[in-house]
Amino acid sequence: MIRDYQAPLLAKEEVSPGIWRLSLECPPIAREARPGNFVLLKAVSSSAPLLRRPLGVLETDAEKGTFGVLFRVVGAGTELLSGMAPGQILSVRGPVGGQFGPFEHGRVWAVAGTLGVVPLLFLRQARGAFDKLFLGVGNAGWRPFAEWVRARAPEMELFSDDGSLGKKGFAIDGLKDQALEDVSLAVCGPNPMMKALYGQYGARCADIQVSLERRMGCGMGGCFGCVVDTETGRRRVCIDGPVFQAREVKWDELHL
Amino acid sequence: MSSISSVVGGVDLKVPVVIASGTWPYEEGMWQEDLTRHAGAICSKAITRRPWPGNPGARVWETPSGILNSIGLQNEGIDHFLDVRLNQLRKHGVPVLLNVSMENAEDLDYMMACIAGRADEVDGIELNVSCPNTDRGCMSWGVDPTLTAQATEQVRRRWDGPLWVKLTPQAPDIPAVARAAESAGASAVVAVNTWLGMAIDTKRGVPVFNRRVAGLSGPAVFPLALRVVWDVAGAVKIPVIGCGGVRSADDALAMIMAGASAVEVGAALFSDFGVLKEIHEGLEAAAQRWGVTSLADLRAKARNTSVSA
Ligand SMILES: Cc1cc2nc3c(=O)[nH]c(=O)nc-3n(C[C@H](O)[C@H](O)[C@H](O)COP(=O)(O)OP(=O)(O)OC[C@H]3O[C@@H](n4cnc5c(N)ncnc54)[C@H](O)[C@@H]3O)c2cc1C
Ligand SMILES: Cc1cc2nc3c(=O)[nH]c(=O)nc-3n(C[C@H](O)[C@H](O)[C@H](O)COP(=O)(O)O)c2cc1C
Ligand code: FES
Repeated sequence: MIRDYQAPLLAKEEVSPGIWRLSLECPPIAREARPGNFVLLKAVSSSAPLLRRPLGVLETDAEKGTFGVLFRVVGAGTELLSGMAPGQILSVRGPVGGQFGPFEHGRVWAVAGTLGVVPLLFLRQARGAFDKLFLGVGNAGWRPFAEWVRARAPEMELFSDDGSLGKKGFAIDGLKDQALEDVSLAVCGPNPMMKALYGQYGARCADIQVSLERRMGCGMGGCFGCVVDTETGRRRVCIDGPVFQAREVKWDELHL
Repeated sequence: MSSISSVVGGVDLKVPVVIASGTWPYEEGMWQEDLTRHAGAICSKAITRRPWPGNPGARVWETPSGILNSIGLQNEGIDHFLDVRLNQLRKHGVPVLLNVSMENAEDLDYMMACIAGRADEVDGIELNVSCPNTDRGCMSWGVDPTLTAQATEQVRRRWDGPLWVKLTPQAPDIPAVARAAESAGASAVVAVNTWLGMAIDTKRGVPVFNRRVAGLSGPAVFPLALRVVWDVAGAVKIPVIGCGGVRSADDALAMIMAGASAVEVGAALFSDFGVLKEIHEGLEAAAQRWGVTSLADLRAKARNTSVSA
């Protein structure tokens, strides 16, 4: 059930320059959130900024009643969130959306573009280590982030655009020359990355579950601001997604 | 004990706060008791004759204290609404107004004939002649007093229940449109729908929205909407429902003091579900503070006491 909660910030950590992990106390989210779900955060009660910022759930601890998010500062909203001090109260809307799974195959591989790893790490918390996890980042500046991910998911194989970290290439290059027929894929990253993945591997893999990004108004199904074109019409990323079967998405129509 | 409930334009509002069209989902999970206690009524998402996919491309864009939207009336059409959504909405004990939007007179007549068949289950019609996000129909009716009167009359031929006409701020003479709706039989007017604006994505160097323009709402427009409420309340005798940027009890009170009988709340719900409760309780407190037995006693207070109106 989607609700607004007041949640104290328990701890924050800059895992890499400009990338923050926040730990919040919110027993209902900790209890109800499932991998693929997200929350919408608001740092201030004023109308500047007006809208909440959608962020994937990274982890939960139902016993302690806490959950975590991990985000990159890209604009005013994430800047405000990164400036919150432990003890301050954030407003949390959630949990929103459907989840990854069920998967058609026992073997599940994960493909992540930078911060797209967030819901996949939560999926990992729920099901255990992935058979494979491919992470793509930009350049050497992402090293602390990549190391942070590796510490949580040692199976991670790293790719970077310029080859300065791991192999040169994109996360989806991890799928090259692999037998994908009996593998399910869980994918999250920038929309163009997911589009490319489907274009290259869609014919060989029947179960590709992608978590999409769209600008959002309400984050609860009310505004129809976040729709994507799918085989079954224009559907809301917030509550009909964010996880979709890749073959259902009309990729040519997709943009942020 | 003071009272804030009243009948506004034929609709029994136990709280004078209405959920604005296009901002709240039909899904049951969103209708918790802590919401329904504080909502006087809900206006459905716009309903059109046929299922309508809405606009392609970007649909929402945040602005300082506001939101531009170009949804374009995505909805499942009148038949599906009456088959499925109406029952879903009625379960919660909150009066339901149908936000009816049309391209042409024929569509409107068709929809009203369908709705008339279910008249007992419909608490009111909110005639949407004001959405700026379509290429045809809708706002092109609402900018013109004659066309607004025609549409209102046409609804009246099939519907003698509560009829709110939702005005557009794009009308060159908004009070004239309000008067036209009144003479054609409207029970109330809603002032106002969104303001035509636009945004440019400077990273890509293109307009954000495929239709270029979009409708602005949220706290950014509150002073603009308040001014329209003032003007319209001075022009008609039927009740005015204030709409645009309301996000606090104080905003709602200002609307009422300018002449509104109730308010609608939309974008504020995007940032905070608690806003309905806050307005509800805040209005009760305001009635007590002012020592009035009914909130209606504060209506148009600012008009009646201002030095130069
Ligand atoms: C379902 C979902 C889950 C997400 N999970 C994460 C996550 O776990 N970690 C993370 O770092 N980022 C995540 N994002 C992206 C994150 O929401 C944006 O980076 C953030 O909203 C940017 O806000 P801003 O104010 O800093 O940027 P600005 O560019 O100033 O924001 C302006 C407006 O655009 C919206 N916006 C900007 N970029 C995006 C985007 N990529 N997606 C959706 N809306 C956007 C903002 O919400 C805001 O309304 C997620 C997005 C979605 C839709
Ligand atoms: C995303 C969105 C969708 C809307 N859809 C409709 C609609 O279908 N019909 C309508 O009459 N108004 C629609 N509106 C306008 C609102 O009902 C309201 O008039 C406007 O947003 C001003 O109020 P607010 O500032 O409280 O949001 C929509 C507004 C938004 C933000
Ligand atoms: S963000 Fe409003 S419907 Fe998805």
